[in-house]
Amino acid sequence: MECKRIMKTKSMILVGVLIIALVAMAAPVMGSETASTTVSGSITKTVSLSALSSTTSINLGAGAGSPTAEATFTADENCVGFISAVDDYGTYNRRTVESGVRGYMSNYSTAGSDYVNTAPFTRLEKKISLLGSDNSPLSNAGIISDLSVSTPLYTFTGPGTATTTKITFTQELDHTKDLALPTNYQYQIPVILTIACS
Amino acid sequence: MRRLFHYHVLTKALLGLIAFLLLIVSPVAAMSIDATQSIPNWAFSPGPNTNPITLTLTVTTEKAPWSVTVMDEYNGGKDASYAGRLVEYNSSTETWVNNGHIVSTNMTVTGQSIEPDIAGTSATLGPEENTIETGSAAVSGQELAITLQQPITYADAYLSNGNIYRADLTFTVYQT
Repeated sequence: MECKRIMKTKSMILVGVLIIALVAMAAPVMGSETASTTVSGSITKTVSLSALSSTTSINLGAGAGSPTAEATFTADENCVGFISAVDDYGTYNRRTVESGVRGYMSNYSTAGSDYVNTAPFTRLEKKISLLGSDNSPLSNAGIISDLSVSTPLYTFTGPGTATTTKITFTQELDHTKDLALPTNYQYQIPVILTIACS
Repeated sequence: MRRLFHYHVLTKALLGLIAFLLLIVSPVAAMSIDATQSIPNWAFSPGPNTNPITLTLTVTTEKAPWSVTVMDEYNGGKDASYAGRLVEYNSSTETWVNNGHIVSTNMTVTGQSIEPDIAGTSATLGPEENTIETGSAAVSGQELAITLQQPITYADAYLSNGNIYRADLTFTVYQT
């Protein structure tokens, strides 16, 4: 009788263990493993500048006073740097040092689409001047009164985008010396803006 | 006789417990994930920026379904509020820079899809785990290409002090 009870109990235990094992096998197997990686890098110095108006006209009128005109541009940058302006004589090889027109509005043939380099090199008496308008993150660096050499027009000290930034051109006239030009000729100066990180 | 009975009961119970533990533990050991590459010198410029080096995960699972998540492991002093974004890091001192520069946009991580059993999705990297892969069949040594996108704008600063931008990513594979 005692032996039968022992066998019955043992059987119950074995069945119990079997059930536990089956439940464990049938249950969802859960777990996780991880892996890590590092991403690092640097932002390259980048600048971008686009002139919203490639041509700006100044109405010189009757050749007196100091007429002005405005041009606009957009600048993007992520560094410390500057925007400079200069007479674009590198593009127009007729604006030689010898011609004495660098920094001045000079005789331009609209028919020939180039500057006139035959003596006398007709130009206005006074050099054109430029002044920038503050437009965050750009700060104007003061008036440029001589475009014959590259000169900072704006500075910037941190990243940002400046849209519709104004430049004011001023051309002082001398009605006793500035000549009126014939048809198909006008006074013109090529100006190039350059943006750069310092 | 009674002592013999108790001995048998204890023996069987112990064996059952061992079998149970083996069943629970062994499947975990059959699952793995590995990310051998890192991206050390990513040159970011304004724009979307896709990782220049192929980042590959190697995944093994014994069962399906399974999934892979990604999160920013912002341990080590990185401010949790910036998890998911590249933060200025000093490589010399191996520390995150206090009040350093932080890029303005979170990184996006995209898992690879391999028909018919593996579906990749895109997730914004952050402090919480986000799923980038799900699988409907067990895999062994399955390589999965991971694509990172790090948008950079002109508002994000160039670092002139020699520091770098850094983020640590943790991938986790789950099987259920």
